[in-house]
Amino acid sequence: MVSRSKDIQSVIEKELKKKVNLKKLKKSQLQTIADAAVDEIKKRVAKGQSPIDPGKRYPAYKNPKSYPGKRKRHRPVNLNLTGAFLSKLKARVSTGFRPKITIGFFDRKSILKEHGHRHGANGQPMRPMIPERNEEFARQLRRNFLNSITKLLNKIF
Amino acid sequence: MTQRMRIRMTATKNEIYFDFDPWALAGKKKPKDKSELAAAKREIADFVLEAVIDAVGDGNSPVAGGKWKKSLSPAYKKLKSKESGVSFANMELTGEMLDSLEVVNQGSKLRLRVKGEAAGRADGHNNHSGKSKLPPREFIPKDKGTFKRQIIMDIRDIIEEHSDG
Repeated sequence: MVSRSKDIQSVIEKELKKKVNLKKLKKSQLQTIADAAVDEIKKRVAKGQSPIDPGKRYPAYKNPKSYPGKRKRHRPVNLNLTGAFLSKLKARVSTGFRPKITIGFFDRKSILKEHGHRHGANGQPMRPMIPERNEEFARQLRRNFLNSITKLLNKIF
Repeated sequence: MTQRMRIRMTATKNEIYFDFDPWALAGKKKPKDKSELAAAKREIADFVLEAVIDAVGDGNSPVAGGKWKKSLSPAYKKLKSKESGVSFANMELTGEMLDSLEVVNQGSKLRLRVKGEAAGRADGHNNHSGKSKLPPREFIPKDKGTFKRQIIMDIRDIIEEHSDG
């Protein structure tokens, strides 16, 4: 079982119109770029907005008195109760012939939680976070990726 | 449509809105292929809603030249802290107003709107009626207004993806 995004290299390369050759980046530089993308996803979710196209707002809690109750404020609906789940969202990178960035959850507990949010386990509304095969990141989020990545690239080159 | 007509319609329909023709905003021709046209419209509608919500969530106006008072009054801040974990103006207390925000077809155009009970609150911040004394937080452009440049550029990208080639 996995809960990972598609390779976002194509997004980066397409949008930057091939100005960026990821092969020229060191692994640590690629990791910095990938971490910036993760930060953008977390910022998006923190606002209560899905990172997946079309980037809708997450549905409200069905019965906020029972959940989240007093454990957290009722707005925004942002998958953040203790912060443990979102802190497990990571980016892994590999360099070499085909540099690759993979964003997702890599530990079993978080993968299960993400699946629970995606499929609406225990009657909760569906709040997916990681694009599956037929999905992609929301357009404005991709724009935000690029803005933050462009800033980083300007620092690197 | 004049501003006066708009106010009357807004009051009658309990709706605050901005009608826009994406192709006119982007300075592009519409595709002749009807399925491409429909697909582009759908995609633009989704994108505009996403971009507006994204900007509002950051406490920024998506409107070109739009005003946005990010800070809250102490009294409202106190009220908001009971419901929300966000302490700046992001238009989300109960979430009802932002949940009502939508982009729908309006003839050959698209309409960004808040309709129904939340329309009054939306007008309070957008002040299309000209009667509001609330701090300005503009997220729905007025007549003759438009979206910020980056949003227009992204609309143009979508249009180009669906052009006749």
